[in-house]
Amino acid sequence: MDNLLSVLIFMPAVAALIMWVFLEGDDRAARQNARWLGLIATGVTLFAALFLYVGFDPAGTGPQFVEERSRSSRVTFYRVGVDGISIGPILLTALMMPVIVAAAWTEEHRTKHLMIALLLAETFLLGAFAAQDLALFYVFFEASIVPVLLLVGIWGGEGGRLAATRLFVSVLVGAVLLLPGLIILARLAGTTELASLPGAELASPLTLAGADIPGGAATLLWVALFLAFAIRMALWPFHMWLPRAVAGLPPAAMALVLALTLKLGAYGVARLLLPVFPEATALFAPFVLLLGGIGIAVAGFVALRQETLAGLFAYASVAHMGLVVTALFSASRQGIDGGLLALFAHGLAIGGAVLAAGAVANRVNGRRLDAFGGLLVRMPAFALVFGIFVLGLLAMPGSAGFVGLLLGLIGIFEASLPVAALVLLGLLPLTAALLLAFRQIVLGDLIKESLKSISDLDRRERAALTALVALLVLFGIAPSILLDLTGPAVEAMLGGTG
Amino acid sequence: MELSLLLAPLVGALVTGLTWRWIGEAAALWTGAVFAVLAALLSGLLLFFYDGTPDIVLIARFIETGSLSTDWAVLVDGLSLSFALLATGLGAGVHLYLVLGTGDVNYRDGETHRARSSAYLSLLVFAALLFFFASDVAQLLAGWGGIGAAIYLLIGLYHRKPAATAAAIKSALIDRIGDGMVLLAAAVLFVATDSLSFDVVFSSGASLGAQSPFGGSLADMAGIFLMVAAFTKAGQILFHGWLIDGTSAPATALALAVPISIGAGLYLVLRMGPVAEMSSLAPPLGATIGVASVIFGAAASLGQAEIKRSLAYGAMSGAGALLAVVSLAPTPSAGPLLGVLLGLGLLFLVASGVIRATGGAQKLWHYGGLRNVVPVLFWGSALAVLAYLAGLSLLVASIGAGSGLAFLVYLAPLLAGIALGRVVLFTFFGCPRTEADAKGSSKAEARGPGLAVLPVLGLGAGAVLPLIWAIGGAGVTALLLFISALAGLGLAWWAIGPNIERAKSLTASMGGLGLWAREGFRIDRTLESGATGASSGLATAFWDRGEQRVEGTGLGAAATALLPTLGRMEAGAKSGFRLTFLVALGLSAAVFLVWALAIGGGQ
Repeated sequence: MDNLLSVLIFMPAVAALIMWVFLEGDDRAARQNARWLGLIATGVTLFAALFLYVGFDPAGTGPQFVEERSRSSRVTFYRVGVDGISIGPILLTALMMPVIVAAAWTEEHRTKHLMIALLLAETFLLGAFAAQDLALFYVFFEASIVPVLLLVGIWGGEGGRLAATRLFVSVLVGAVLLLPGLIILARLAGTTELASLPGAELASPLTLAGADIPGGAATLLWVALFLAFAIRMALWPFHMWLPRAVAGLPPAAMALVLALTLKLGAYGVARLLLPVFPEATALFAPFVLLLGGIGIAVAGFVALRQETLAGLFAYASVAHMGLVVTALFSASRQGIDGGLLALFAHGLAIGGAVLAAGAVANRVNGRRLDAFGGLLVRMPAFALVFGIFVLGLLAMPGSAGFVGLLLGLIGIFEASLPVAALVLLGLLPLTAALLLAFRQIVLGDLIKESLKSISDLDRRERAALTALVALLVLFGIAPSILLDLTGPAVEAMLGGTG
Repeated sequence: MELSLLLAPLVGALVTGLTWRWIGEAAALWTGAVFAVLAALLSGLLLFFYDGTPDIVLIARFIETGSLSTDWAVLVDGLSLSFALLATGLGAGVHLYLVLGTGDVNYRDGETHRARSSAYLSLLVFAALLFFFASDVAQLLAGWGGIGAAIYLLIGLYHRKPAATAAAIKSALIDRIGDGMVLLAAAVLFVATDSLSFDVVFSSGASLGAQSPFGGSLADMAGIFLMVAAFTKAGQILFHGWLIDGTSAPATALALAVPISIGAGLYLVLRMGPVAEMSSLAPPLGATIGVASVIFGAAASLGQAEIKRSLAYGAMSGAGALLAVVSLAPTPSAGPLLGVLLGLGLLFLVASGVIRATGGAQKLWHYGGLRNVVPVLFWGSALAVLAYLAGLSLLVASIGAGSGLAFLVYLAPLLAGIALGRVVLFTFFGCPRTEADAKGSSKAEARGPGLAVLPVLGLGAGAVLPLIWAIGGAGVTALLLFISALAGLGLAWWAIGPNIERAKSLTASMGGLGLWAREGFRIDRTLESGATGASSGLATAFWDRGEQRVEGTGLGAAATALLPTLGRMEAGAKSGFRLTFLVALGLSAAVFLVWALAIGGGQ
């Protein structure tokens, strides 16, 4: 199928367009139609992604399923494809979105618009992951934040508008750095084709205040792009927008932000920084490794002080992004593979944890951790899946995160033993924070009146969350399903860069 | 057969854990027990027919990336089969105890935990098998982490009991340190040998002998990481908090969790022995911490009032001796090792029976004279103590008398004799305590769990006789050590005897010393307050003085200042004209950007 990738990318947007044009009113029928349309669109997208997975050649190092649309012989304005680096995030997005849409089923506030925002977010994310052209990547990268801004602003509760503004200012700073960075990169490399960028000669001497900058313009470009990606992935200390942005979001939107949107920043690192700027990456790697290591520890300790579900999950994500970026910058085969797998695993685990906890939060209309307690008695199914997701976030054996941590740590250790020790030390407070939260929510006596008649997960919730549990475990015991696909591309990246 | 053995406990855990609400507790317990017994039988058959030739049965690929290639596999050799038999045999015993008896005293009336307990026990056995059968460090680590997770679940079994859930978290955190240490060791080994396979790692002496960036060899680094990991699982001093606080869990859970966890720590040192042997630092470290734990654990055990805490400190002491033995003499025979661990498990099971027989009483002072009330428990404890002491004596004798540390390890059987003797004497001798009657226990009630111990005792009897027989042929040292252990029992008899009043007066005469020992010489509390104080302080520093303070500055402040302006813009945009203008502006900007970048590509 020649246009499989385009179908995959634009199917959600087409569904969003249909909703916008044809679904009128906000009555029960319209809401139900919007939900079903959203689920069907994300389901078809998932189906297309599975086709993509089946047809993907694991031995190939370059982009596959490439589609190009040229306006003239000189200008290619649409070039998409999938390679070993992007297949993981694309699969993750396609797998998560039907679950996220299913989790938004009970949302009654502007349901149609919520679905449109979710579907547009999926299209933009998939487009950014599949883009094989700098311009297209930039457009999708920046566009992907628009639905998130809408989600935060409209569905973000009391502090939503301020949170959206903070997010807007943050991404604006990132965009201001990214855009000129990409334009200069394209000019220096003489191409916007992503596959041609690695190995391109970017040397351009640069003098600042009379001193030569090591690596020349490429070094400054690296800094600009890194800052843009660091903001987007909420890497410590560029994470301040995240906790407030997700604070008031409904569970589905929170899962979208934490499980998928953050991944775009890390993907940018793996897609552009590592292969295109090997010298600058090597120059800054010690700094980034330290930043990531410290970030894990700080985020872990801050997570200990969180009193809300959103705060806890946000800081757990900041810590995980620290692990991912540290593993990626280890610049070893195992480290990068581990980083990509950890990225995937975190998406499944945090998505599942947010959706499971969110299902309970919606029942009691409470978001503070102390609004819960003793749910094991009334909600054993919830306790089981939530416990599995918490263990998944802690990278317990049997979960995909375990393999990501093992491989990532091998890579980090090769790069720096102190950072590896810092990473492991940093995981301790995060472990305590997550287990204390699990204890607060699930264990203990069921005292609160509001919880005494609470019902367990319904069939829809069980089905959605069980699917995520199955995936988390599947990739934990058979990580080669993903590693086989990413390996050659990572190998080529490392071979190509040196 | 190997795969069936590995999967039987997992299937048992899944069926029991996921279906007990529908099929009922009794059916779930029987299901768990059937799979546990099946695993024990398969394990026994494999060991019986083992011809001495190590073999690796591949199950599936696990991790494959670059030069790193690991598998899910079953490594069949004498060491792995022996420990597998311990895990499955003890697992089967505890399952039978659960299914035949009435189990532990519930934390609260009306609560039942037996089905979940059965599922978690099966999960622990599965994780242990995964660990013992590993043929490379990746699977070893997976099993290691799995054991930690299952123990977390078992310790937190009484999910409404704050002390139990807090202890479970402490266990997970200490286990996390152990996980980290094994991870670091794996990283060292891979960097040095380019493999995680045991075969390759153990044959890469030259690579591991290379200098590490921090002084010493890479083998030293890996050896120290592995040894510290073993400390965490074996509940050694500084890492023993989980073992002591873990006594909040029911004794049946501890009967499997404690021996398997200690066994895992010892197995790690034994399995990775070739790496430790290449290190000049790891064995002395293991022996030193082991000896410190022997003395600390035994002394603290003497001050304990509760039976489970007393046994836990005793286990810590015994584990210290075993760790010192495997550090100083890395090829001890498996029989005595398993005898000690089996004895330990049986003692916790007996404790469960005693607690049940006395209507839930946990304190030694509330016991007495149970020898006549539930004789099967008494004989069970006698077998367990004999197996424990005989195994310990044999093992300690194997290290030789090469150093001062070895001499201190020689004290272990004597100290164990005193500590265990104290528990047994308080429990089974003297007059029946009136408190027990007041709690409503009766002979008939007491016999329920007592009878259920019977199948388990068979295991103990099976271990004791060969061990005592082996002492006869092991030389004078082993015999003397066993005699010293029996002397320890005699010393306890002399100090406590059947006269509880004399024991009480002795305890009273110890005054502050006794209280000090009961609190683990304040080490436990100091460690806990230090860890919680440090983490709380850091959390406060990073949150209250960090995140919270800077939130209103920089971009946050800019956003706050921008908000009213954006609000006005939004209001204006709703008028129609500005919205059209803004959309047109945005689209133009996007078109320009695409054009600018695309032209670059074209050129």
